[in-house]
Amino acid sequence: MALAGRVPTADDVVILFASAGYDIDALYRAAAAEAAPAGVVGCTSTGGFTQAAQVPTGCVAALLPADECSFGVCHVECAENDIAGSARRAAQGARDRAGDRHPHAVLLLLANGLTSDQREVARGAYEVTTAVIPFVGGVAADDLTWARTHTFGDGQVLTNGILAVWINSARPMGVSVDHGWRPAGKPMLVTRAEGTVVFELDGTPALEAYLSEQGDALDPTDLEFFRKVMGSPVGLPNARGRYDVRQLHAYLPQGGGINFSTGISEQSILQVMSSNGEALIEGARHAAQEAVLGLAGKARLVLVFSCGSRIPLLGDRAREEVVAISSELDGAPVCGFYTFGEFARTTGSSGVHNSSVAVLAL
Amino acid sequence: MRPLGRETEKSLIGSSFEAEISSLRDRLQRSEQHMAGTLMRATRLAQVISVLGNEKDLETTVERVAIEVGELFFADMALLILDSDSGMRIAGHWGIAVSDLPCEPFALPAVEAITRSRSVRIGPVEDVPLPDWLASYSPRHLAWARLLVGDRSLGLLMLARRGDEAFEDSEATELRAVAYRIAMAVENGLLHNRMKDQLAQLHRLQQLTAALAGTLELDAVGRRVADTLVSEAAVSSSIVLINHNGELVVLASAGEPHDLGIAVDGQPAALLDDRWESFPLEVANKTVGVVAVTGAPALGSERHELLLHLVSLGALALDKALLYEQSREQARHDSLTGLLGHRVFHEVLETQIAARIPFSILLFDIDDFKQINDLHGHQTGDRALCLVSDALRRGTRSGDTVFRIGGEEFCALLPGLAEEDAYSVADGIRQRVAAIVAPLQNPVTISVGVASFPAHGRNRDELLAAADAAMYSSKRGGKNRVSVAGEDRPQDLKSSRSGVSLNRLYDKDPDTVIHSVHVAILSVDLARVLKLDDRQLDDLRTAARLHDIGKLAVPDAILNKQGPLDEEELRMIKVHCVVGAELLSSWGLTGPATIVRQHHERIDGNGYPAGLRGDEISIEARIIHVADAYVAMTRDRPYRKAMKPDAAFAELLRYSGTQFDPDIVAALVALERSRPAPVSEPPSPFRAESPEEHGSHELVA
Repeated sequence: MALAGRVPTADDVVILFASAGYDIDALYRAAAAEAAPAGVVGCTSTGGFTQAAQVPTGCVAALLPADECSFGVCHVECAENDIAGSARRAAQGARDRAGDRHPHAVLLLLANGLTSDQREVARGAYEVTTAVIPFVGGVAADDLTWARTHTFGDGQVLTNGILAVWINSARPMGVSVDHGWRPAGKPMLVTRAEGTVVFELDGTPALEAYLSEQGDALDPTDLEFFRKVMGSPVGLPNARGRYDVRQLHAYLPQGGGINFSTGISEQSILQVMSSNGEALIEGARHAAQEAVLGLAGKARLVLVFSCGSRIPLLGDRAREEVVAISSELDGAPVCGFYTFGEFARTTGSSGVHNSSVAVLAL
Repeated sequence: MRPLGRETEKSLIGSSFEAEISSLRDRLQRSEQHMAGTLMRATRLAQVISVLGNEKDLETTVERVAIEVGELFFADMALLILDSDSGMRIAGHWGIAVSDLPCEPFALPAVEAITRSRSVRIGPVEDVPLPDWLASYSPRHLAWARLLVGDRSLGLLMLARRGDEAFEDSEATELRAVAYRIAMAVENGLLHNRMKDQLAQLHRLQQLTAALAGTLELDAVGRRVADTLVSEAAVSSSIVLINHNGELVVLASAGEPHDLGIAVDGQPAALLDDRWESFPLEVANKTVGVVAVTGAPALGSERHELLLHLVSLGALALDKALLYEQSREQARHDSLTGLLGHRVFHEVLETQIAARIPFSILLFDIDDFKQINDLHGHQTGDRALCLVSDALRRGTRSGDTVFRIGGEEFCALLPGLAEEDAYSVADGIRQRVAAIVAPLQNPVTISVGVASFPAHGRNRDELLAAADAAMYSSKRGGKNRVSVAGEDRPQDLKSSRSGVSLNRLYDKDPDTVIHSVHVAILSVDLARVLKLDDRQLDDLRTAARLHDIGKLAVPDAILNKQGPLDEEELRMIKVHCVVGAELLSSWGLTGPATIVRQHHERIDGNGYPAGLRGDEISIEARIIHVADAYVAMTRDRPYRKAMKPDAAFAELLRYSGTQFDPDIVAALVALERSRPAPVSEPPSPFRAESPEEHGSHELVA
């Protein structure tokens, strides 16, 4: 359907987001056969959407036509002891393959959702994009079981992959991110942290401190605990007066450490965040507005990476988020998926986000 | 004025509320933003300090801190630049491609204005220094902070934003504090690295000192000193020169090949040009040589101090190596005659055989030397030895080598000569010696045996046995003559019945015959120490050479058996004393026959065949018994390696008074210890064995 009757060329790329329940190898082979000679890239998701429909279980796909664009794809296995180096290799490989035919560039990143520190992925990519080229993308997801995610493209399906698509374009492209969360709890100082695990907040075990900030009592032994805490991520204030949101996805049974998918520095401040459907939808709308702001005309395609952790809070209004995004795009087609994390960097931030909506307007 | 309708009034009130709500939302949002920014800034320095404290080493710390500070200050680019002796280098970067960074070391004249008094500069790019190589990144706002520790600059921190947000004055204050913390961390890291380097260097110097202390070879010491000067003192090239006959010669060199092209090992030092700086190698006011280097470190620098230390260390090590070489050279020579000693003879002989090039050896023995000593005193005896040595030197060619291998025994090694030519040389020497008259009443004469490689032997023992047999033939032939191994000149061993039997034994068990030759040499030496007379010496020599001749009657299976013998086999072995004695008696050698019969008797009466004890056993038989055991223990056998002399002494002493005559054991130990020790012997990987273990069931009762 994504081809919409178009005969693909070898320079085109089809981007595909698929539910985790598929036989991903077979799916990738079938998609590649259908799209040939165009390349297929993509990852697993917690569900997808287009401007026309929500696809909680299934596939969504979009054709990235090579008209006025060139693409370079590189898909590498992520070395756990050198995540940044792996991301750097993927980004550099994609950049080299894309060539330098057009003046504008964006790096699209898709990474394994269980990578231990997504900040390292962003840092590795940033070594290649430098301050000049924005990057954007999403972290592959599954059905919120945190069991296994896949990335595919460049001839292989990987469970620990980093997929980079370098996009060169004759026209400016827009990248933005927003979330719609507000600080709700008291500021807490990270008094002990190591990598992605925060052990202590204000000198007390982090889980205990986090739970004490929740209005409703949460039981960590509850099977639904992690689904429930999606409504209460934490935010790290940044120098711009905004909050980088981080989603808790595990805790240490002993010692009370809480684990994130992104490294958190000692001596930083955390606050429990809150939101509601309306605010989240407005956050997504704002992201879309920002993304198309710098375009030289109407967007041809908009890729959206919305965090899967927003779904429980959005509930029945999940569709409204996509509609809000679409309403800002002057009818441009939208293709997106629900992620385990988002990448978006234009200026000044680390480029890693949780519980947010990242937008790439082509 | 028309009153407002209800709906209109309601609408106006609603609008007012909505405007109020909107205004309150904006104020709340601004308040939240303000609070977030304030919170972030309140903890920013603490976060930097945390990062600085977490990393393990300086390199990682500065790399990481550039990224963290860049993110914390919402910068798009960050640079951490450190000063070094040669210029500036990039220690950490964020948001800038490596390919766009300048080659190191580099200079940034534009930032020199960022001084201690004004250590932070912020502003739009038009007002603040921007390196050329960053221009393509289009930064809009820059911040520079000098990394200061006291008055000393360690480098610079640079942050750049590509967006509209300018760096605020409050951020400048923060950056000053951040830069100070980074500078402290860098300073600590540098100190830590320096201490680590110094410890590592100290460790290497300790290893070097230990290695030099354990190295005696002059060349090895020279090489190590030259190499260490390059690796540790960081000179470009080094040459170690030593004094040799009043001239400096190159011992070893290391470093840049283009410098060393002029300094080939062994070349005199005159070839060194003015690029070289020299340091004398002095020990206790004695100059043993000179170290010359190119690219020497600056005077007064740490490296220069290290260089001087290494030169002093090198001087000590080279002095020791030179002393060792000198003493080794002395140990190789006999102190009386100046000829090479018997151990060198064996080394040279092995080398010659290994080369597989034909040569001959001449074995000389001064006739009736004991009489010379007894009649004319040891001084005269020594004089005679010197005169004979001189005759040997004069009678041989320049490429020949002459050795003193025993009391009055000498050997000459003649490379490339076959037996006929060797015979001529030997006879010339014999005549030359015979011509010596003064200061003796009777002329000194020598008996000579000639043996050639490979005709008369393919290994050392075979060749020595052949030469010894030939020399013995000369003695038996009347002395003052030359015999060639395997010939009838003047009285071939083959022509005698004992010779025939010995040859038969050689065919049957060559190792026993060779062993017997060594036993005979040692027995005669011991007899001289114990002052036996000439008749006793002659009988002893004959008996020692033939002491195992009775083994002709022992089956090969027993002789060659590996492992312990059973009772019957032992009885067969013991028979060889009686058989040997009877053979010698049948040849008219009655004196030697008695000795051979008794050579396995023990002084405690537990020997065989007669169970004699103490003085019931002849002194000659007791001597052979001890010499037999010692030679068995200290010679390599096909089935085991030789025992070290000290271990063999210990074994003899253990059985002294029971198996062996204590006086003879003491004489043997003293005699062997008086011989020059080998210069170096590699430790044997084999276990030492006692006389009983030594396959010596045939040797020790």
